[in-house]
Amino acid sequence: MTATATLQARLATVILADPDVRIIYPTQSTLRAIGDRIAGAVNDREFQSPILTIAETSEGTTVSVSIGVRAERAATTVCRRLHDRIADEMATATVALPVSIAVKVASIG
Amino acid sequence: MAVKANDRTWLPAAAAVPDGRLREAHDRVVAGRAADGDPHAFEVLVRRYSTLMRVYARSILGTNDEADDVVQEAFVTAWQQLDSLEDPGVVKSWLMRIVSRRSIDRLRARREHEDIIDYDPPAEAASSPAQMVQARSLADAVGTALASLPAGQRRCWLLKEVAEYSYREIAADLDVPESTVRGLISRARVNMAREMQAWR
Amino acid sequence: MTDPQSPYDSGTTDALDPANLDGHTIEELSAYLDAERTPTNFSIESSPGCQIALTALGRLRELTAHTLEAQAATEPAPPDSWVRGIMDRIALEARAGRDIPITHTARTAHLTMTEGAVRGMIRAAGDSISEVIVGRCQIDGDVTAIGEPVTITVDVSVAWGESIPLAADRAREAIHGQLAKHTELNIAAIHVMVQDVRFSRTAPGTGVAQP
Repeated sequence: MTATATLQARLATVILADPDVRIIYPTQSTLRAIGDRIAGAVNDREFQSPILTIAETSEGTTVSVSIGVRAERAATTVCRRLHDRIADEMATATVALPVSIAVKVASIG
Repeated sequence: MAVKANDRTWLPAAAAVPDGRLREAHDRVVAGRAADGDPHAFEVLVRRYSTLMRVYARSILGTNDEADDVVQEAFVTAWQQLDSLEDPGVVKSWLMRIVSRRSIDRLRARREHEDIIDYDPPAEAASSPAQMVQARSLADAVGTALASLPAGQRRCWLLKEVAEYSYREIAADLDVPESTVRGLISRARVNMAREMQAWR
Repeated sequence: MTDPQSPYDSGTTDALDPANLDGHTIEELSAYLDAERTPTNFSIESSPGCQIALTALGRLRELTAHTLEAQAATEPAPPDSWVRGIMDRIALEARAGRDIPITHTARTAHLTMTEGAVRGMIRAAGDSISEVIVGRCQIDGDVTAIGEPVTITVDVSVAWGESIPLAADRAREAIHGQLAKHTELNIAAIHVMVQDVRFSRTAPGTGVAQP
C-alpha cells in the first residue's frame, strides 16, 4: 500500500471516529463515475471508494474531504476540530507535511 | 476503508418532515424546497404528478411501457433543471412540458425514417353514437373522442391544449411546417367536437 | 351575448350542424378560434349559431385537461419500487451552491460549509415549528466573504387555523438560532414569507389562504 493510501485509510478512520461526523461524502469525481452503478445496486453493499483526496505537491501535501455533521454541536467547531485531528495525524505520517487541509461541511443534521 | 453504498446514507438525515405534512403542502412550497435540494420534497412531487404524466405520455405514445420510461426520464430531467424554474408554483405545467419533450424524443427515436405526422397507426374504432351514449361521464366521452383521433392529430392537440406549446414550438419539435400543425389541430378540434355531439 | 347553451346537454340542437352556422363552416370557426378571434370577423361574431359553436369548440381545452385528470384519478399510484428507481438516479448533492468560509487560525486550514448545508439546516429549523413547512430558501449577499451582511428569505406554508404572524415569528427565531449556532454568517435580516395555508385532511370546512 502506498503512503498515500495508508494515510487515506488512517484519516478516514480518524474522521469517522468523531461522534459529530455523520458521513463522509464520496468525492465529486467518484460520484460521476459510479453514479449509475449505485442506482439499482443491492442496499448495504460496501465498496472501496476514495473519500478523501490526498495529493502531494511541490509545496507539500494537500488533503480534502467533504463531510456531513450531526446537529448537536456547532458545525464550525466540528469542522475546525477535524482539521486539527487531520493535522495531528499527518504529523506522524510519511508523506510531506500538509500545506492545505480542506474540510467541507456539505450537510448539517 | 469502505463506505456503505446504501443510498439512504447519502440522503440528508435531517429535514425529514413527517410525510403527511409535506404531502399536503401546496406545489409552490414543495417545488421550492425540492429546487433547493430536498429529495423528500422531490419525492412528493413524483408521487403527486407521475400518474397524470403517465396518462398524458401514454396518450401521446400509444403504449404503456414507454410511457413509464418517459415519465422516469422526465423526473430525472426535472431534478436537474428545477432550480431554474422561476415560479415554483407552476411546477405542474412545467412537468407536463418536460414529459411532452421526452415523449416527442421517444417518437423521433422510434421512427427515424418516417414522418411522425404521416405515420398513423390504425385509430381505435371511432365511437359510434351508441358507444358514446354508454359513456358514463363527460370525461369518459372526451377520453374516447381523444383516443379515436388519428395519432398525429391527437399528439398535436395534446401538445397545444395540455402542454400549452405554441404552434411554432410544435412545428419545431415535430419537424414539420407550422401550417401542417395548424391543419392537424383544426381537424382534431373538429373531430373531437363531432364525437362529442354523439354524447348525450 | 346571450348565455350559450351547452351542445353537450341533452335536448339541444346540434351546435355544429352547418345549417346553424349562417353560412360559415366548422373549419372556419376552428381557424378563427386558433387565431384568438382576431381580426374580428363581424359576420361570425353577430351569428348566435356561430357563438354557440365557438363556445363548444372552446370548451374542448378544459375538457381535455379534465379528462386526463379523471383518468389519472382512477389509475393506481406508482409502486414504491418505481419511485425508488427515480430517487436512485438523481444526483443528491446537486445543490451545493457557494462555499461559505469557516475561519481558523492555522495557515493550513481551508474550511468551508456549502450553501446547500445551510439551506438544509434552515429547512430543519423551520420544520421544527410544528405548524410550519419550509419551501424555497434564498440566501442573498456575498457569503464567500467573511463578515459580509447576508439576508435570508424563506417561503413557508402554515397550517390552517394557526396564527400566521406567530408561526412566522417562531420560524424566524428558530432559523436565527440555528444560523447563529452553526455558521459565522452576518445575518442582516430573515424574511419569512407565508406562501399558503394548508389544510389538514381532518380539518373541517374550507378556509381562505393568504395573509
